[in-house]
Amino acid sequence: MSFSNPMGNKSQNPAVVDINNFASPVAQGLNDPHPLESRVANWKANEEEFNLRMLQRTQGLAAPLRRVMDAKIVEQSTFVPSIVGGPSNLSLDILKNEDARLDWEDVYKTESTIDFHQEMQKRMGL
Amino acid sequence: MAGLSFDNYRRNKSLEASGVLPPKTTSTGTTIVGCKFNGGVILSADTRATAGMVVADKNCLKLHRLAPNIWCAGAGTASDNDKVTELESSQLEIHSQWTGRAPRVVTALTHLKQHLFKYQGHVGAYLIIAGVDVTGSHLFSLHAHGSTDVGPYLALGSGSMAALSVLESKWKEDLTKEEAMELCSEAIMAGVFNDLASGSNVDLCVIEKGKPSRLHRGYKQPNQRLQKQRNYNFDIGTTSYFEAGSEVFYISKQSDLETSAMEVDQVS
Repeated sequence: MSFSNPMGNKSQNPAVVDINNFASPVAQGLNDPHPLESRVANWKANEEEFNLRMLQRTQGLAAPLRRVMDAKIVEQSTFVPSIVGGPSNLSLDILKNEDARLDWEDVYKTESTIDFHQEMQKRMGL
Repeated sequence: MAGLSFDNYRRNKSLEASGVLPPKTTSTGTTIVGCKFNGGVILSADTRATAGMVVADKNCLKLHRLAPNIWCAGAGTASDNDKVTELESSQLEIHSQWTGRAPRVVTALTHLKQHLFKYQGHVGAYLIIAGVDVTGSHLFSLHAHGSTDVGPYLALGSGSMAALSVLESKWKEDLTKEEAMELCSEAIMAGVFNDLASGSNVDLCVIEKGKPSRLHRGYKQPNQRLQKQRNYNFDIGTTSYFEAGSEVFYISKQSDLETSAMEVDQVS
């Protein structure tokens, strides 16, 4: 079985242009990416997939299922607009054990290019 | 996308395709060593920053503080070393507040090696990590691809062979603090004088159990710049000049001569 999309983290393959992600420039996903790029983009998703699989082996299927469920609930019930610092989510960070972890993503942040109304419309499916 | 940006890689690729020659790889060079002694660890480094054939900085600091009790010395790409150690220093602070304990050296080592492995050696940080914690004193080395090493004495960088020759021949067990400081500075000096890419001064950091770590900036300064043997300051009146009255060459006031003095080489 596969835990595709575990913990709500989308596998980000730069070869595919994600038109829903307004923050990513269109240049991304075009020819000749750096060999590291896809590796780094998929790093978290792969790590989580691996952890969930380990959990399934040692504790049975219920453990990873519950984790994914908890993460989904927290993710869907919290909304921080990007204009006030989203998509940070402390509860989700705690579940993922990332509340005390630091990486380049926390240091070099991209300015939000999506305005609040666009974000709301996208979220509400308008 | 947050994090390290790969945009310039594509830009450079398309520039190359349109015929722009890419810059050549710049070689870097350093000598760093670490050595354990009875009651603590010592880190030492030279202070030359090399960018190919150019000495970019004659007195740069290659010893970085990760935590009050954990330091590291960096070889490889200077900017990568600076930023990676800055990030790890913040990470250790957060981690120690999260756990409510003083950070351990293995924690710093594991964080760093996992981080560097993720970037497959593209983050060019080659580190010697040293520190004391509840489990004793530790000395580790870490390469940019994520491999690590343990030892009572370690050397890294282009001058590591010169430094190791000193360490291999003079290191013994149960060194005192003073002996270890002398040994480390001697090992760095071997790099300073025998490796072209290392030079200038010797920095040294002593980390002892139960004491604040001490950074000796410029512990040895064997390459002080001497006074120039000659200078280019000429006494006023060395050259004769026309007095007032000549319409072609007209320098009459003393102040004219004094202001023009700033154009010549000053020896301080």
